[in-house]
Amino acid sequence: QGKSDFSKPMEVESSKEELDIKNNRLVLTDNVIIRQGTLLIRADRLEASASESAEQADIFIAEGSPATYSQTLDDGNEINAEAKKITYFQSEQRLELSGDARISQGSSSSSGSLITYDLDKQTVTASSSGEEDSRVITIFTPKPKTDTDEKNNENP
Amino acid sequence: MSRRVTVILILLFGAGLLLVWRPFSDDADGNNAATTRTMQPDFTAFGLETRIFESDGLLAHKIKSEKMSHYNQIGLTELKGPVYTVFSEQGEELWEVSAAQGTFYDDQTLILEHDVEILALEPDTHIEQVLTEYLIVDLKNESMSTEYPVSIHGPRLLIRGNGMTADLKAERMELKRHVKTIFQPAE
Repeated sequence: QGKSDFSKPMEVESSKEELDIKNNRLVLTDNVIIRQGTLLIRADRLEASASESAEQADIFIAEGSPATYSQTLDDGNEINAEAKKITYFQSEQRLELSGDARISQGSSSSSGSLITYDLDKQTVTASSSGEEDSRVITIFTPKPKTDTDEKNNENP
Repeated sequence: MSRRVTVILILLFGAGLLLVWRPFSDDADGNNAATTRTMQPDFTAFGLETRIFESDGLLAHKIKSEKMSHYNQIGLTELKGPVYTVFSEQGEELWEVSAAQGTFYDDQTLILEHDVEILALEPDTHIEQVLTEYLIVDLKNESMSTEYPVSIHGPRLLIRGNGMTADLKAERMELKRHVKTIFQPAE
């Protein structure tokens, strides 16, 4: 879902930017807007850094009051989320929402202190205040299989 | 107005022009205004390299230039094709800052103009190159600043802004008026 977004450049606008070259960290502040295809994140502050083996920044931490996220899925539905902190693990296509986190798509929604949204598998894991009672909820009803999908499955 | 006052005014105006005379002008072919300038350099050197060492003997920075013309009276040195190298605390080459022309003032300020490039000398660095048209380098505390548009390039990164400050030894930069940062996806 939203796969086509990940092959597009990510563009970030903000008033200020600081570069910590030694630690390969960029900090953008003041009215931060992140766009990647249909993915849109708004925040007060964004920190971009590279995970161990990454050549370039691939972990983006957006903080705001709240920081907001929206994306249009391949089936045209839009998903929205907000939290004090949204961490976007680009290479793993995973979103972590923490601090008054809320995610919704159409009439389905979920909230908790920590929500993990797997953009590839389209699953949401919500847990409240960090206890181990995290519940895995698939809130996005997969598209009903049409005849053509079934044919494709029989002879891919 | 009596003739004497007019003559005095002309003399004053001429002296004033000399004091605020700008070392370079934007001639089409990049030559400075040497031909129109009345002042002659006290000395001119070609292919000179100045090395400045820290108190502990480690190389702090070095400035090379194709041609250097020094003007004692106004305390400045004109540089053609200056290259300024910044070293880390451990004496490794970190950055090379070059430009078409520069002016070095007695107060340890180096002004670089036209095709200014800051090039990372370390391998696999995430910021490879910074480009602008004008850069003020304070050699005393090794800080740099510009109010001009800046573009910063990395392996899959492009940052644009207007105005920048940089501490190359600490490897920190700040864009005063950030415009846009673009992260290209991995192939």
